[in-house]
Amino acid sequence: MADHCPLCQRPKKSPSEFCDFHYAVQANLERAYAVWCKSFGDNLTIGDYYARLEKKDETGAAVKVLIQYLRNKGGVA
Amino acid sequence: MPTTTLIVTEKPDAALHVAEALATDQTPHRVSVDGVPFFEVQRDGGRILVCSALGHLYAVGAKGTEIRSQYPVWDFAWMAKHLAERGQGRQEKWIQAISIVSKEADRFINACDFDIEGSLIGYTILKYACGGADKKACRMKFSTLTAKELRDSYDKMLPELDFSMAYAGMCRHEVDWLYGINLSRALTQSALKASNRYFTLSTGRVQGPTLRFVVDREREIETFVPVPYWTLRARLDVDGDFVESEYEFDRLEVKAQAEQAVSDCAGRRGLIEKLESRTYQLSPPTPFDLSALQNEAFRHFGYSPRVSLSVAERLYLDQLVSYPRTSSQKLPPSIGYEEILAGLKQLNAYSSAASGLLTSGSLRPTQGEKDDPAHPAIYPTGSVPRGELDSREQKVFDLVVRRFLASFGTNATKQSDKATIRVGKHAFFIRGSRILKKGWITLYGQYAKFEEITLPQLTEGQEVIVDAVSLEEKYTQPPPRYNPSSLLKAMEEAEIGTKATRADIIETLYKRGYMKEQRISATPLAFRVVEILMKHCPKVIDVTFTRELESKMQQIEHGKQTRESVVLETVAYLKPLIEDLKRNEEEVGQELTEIIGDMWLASVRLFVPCPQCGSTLKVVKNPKTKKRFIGCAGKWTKRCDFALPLPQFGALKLLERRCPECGFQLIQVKSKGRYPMISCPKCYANKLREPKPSETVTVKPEVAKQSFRNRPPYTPQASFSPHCPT
Repeated sequence: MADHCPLCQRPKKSPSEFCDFHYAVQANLERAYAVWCKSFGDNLTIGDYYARLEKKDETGAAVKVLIQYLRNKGGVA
Repeated sequence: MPTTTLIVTEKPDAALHVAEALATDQTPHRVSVDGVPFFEVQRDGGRILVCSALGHLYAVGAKGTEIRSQYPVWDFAWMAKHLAERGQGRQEKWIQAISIVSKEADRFINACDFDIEGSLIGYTILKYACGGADKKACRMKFSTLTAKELRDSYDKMLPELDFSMAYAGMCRHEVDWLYGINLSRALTQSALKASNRYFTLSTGRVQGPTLRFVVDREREIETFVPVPYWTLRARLDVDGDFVESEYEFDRLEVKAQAEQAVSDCAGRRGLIEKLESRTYQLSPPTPFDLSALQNEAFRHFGYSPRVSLSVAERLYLDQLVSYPRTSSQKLPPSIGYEEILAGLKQLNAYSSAASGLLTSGSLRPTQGEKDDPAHPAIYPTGSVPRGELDSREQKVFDLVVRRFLASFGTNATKQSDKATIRVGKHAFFIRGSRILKKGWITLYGQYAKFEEITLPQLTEGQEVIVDAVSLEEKYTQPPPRYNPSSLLKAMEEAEIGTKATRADIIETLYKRGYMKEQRISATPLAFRVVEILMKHCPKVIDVTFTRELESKMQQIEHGKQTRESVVLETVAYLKPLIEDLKRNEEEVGQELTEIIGDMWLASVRLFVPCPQCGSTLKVVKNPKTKKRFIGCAGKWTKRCDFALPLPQFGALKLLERRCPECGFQLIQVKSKGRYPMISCPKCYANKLREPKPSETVTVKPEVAKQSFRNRPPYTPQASFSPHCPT
């Protein structure tokens, strides 16, 4: 496994695959997913969640970059 | 025996006003010493010479011969500003002239602005240019440049200089110099050594924590994940009048619940359950301290804090307002309320408001909590402008006058109404508000705005029909970006910087390329600099530490700390940090190189136009592949796809020379430990387009000698073509 964050090449924060900054972005994304599920009901898929976030102006630039990466990495519809 | 008095003021306009005020029966006589103006007047049988400084004539500089690239630097001394800083040649002439004139004087007065900077400017001039006259000098203290106040201040001058203020000022300059020179040089030199490119990078005692505010906010925005919520509004039919109402909860977090509320209420009948009315007293606004003026000027006119301060200073020098660099929100009776109002009465715009206040009986302004021992809040002097004010001056003057008038006004009374409408288990509110008594609002004019909403006639138990219910899906918003005014406020709340320096620090952050635009966003350079400082010397950008230092410097003003102890403490603290930065210079430089390279790339333009569309050509970096190339500025406007490849390694430089074969601009690439390689991007691109040659590349002998000495064998695929002759 690489020693650097795949998004910015900074040293990664163990045990995550990301650096401190992108690790925090990932944590935000996961935390907010729980809120979204509560708001829209449990049938909200993670792919749907990402798709909606990508369209929002309020979504931070780093969040959009992370979503793109997670999509390309696969496993997300 | 007649005496000769030398009065030192801060600015030429102030010198003229002082001279005019002190001249008993004649206009001041303007004399010139080596081109430096002085004003000479006679008073009480003695001669008075009034000179002005040009801001600071003395500054902190490195002791001995200084090499500007060297750091750390710990030995400093106060010296003539032209010796300490570049481009200050005018100050040399000023010092010489004051020095010559001081020899004729047997009495000395510091009449610079009464604050830390003014005390320091006067002190250093009297000490260094006037041969140690600081020990016998007196101090004039005033808050406006009106003739009356200047004469009073001359008659009641303090018998000695305000040394504690001057020492506090000295300490501030020394500490800031130690921080600035060492940290800024560490960053600049690290970057220079790593990238071979000079780029001024700076940070400082207040600059660092302020930049961190901006970067932290940018981070919050970049990492923000919005979450949904819903708001509900209902249009109610109240006896044929349609009224908008809001749902009992500001936001509903579950969509199903929100939809349920809509289906529960739409088309249903409701009852007015409760009617409430409350009246509030709205106190007049407090008089302006500098930051309140800067905030209000930004809110109403969009002026940056620096612009507001400079306009207010201009008005002060024109005798129209009091000294603006004040923290006070109080107006003491000694400023002469009636006299000021009588003066304002002369101006048409304020005539009726001023007359009204003068006949109101008692004149008592609202006083704020903040105080400043040196100056009262900002107020108009009551003088009528001598000439026409420019648009900015007019606006700021009007704001100051209106605020002054409003502070004498009576309370305004506001009524707010609320009706609660019950629709089954749900409740809606209708709100209204109106001003019952205008009081100070009239005096503040256009700067006091209240929206009035009048409700229709309602009674408790009255039936209403829910005509329509609207459900809106919304999302939480990231924190707002700072603007110059809110950033200044944040600095003030964090107690970093002073009222005199905050606006300049914000401007410096813009100038250094750390932030951009009115709605401030941090640049990648700012992120990198804060990251480096966080890693190597986190305390430098720590607000708490900066605030503690600030407080110690303030204690010098009150005689509770000595200048020497604060400076020694600073050196002891900074020394290991700077030495650590020096040790890690290579690492710091590497961390800055890429970002500086990107900034440079963004700024360079080729002198040859695009051969396809005639637009400007520039060096561009592909954000995804990070590869650099020459691209056309008309890409988006003219859909021009002209592009040329560039070598990907080494420091790139655009030369002011043309290719002798095709006339395109030549470039130079230099890698560490190698000779610079000069080539033509266009010829290289053409070469690449040719079919793969089996033959060897022909290189002119003189080019090969210049470009390839000590190089590994040339391989066209791997490196850039030296095809063009130089």
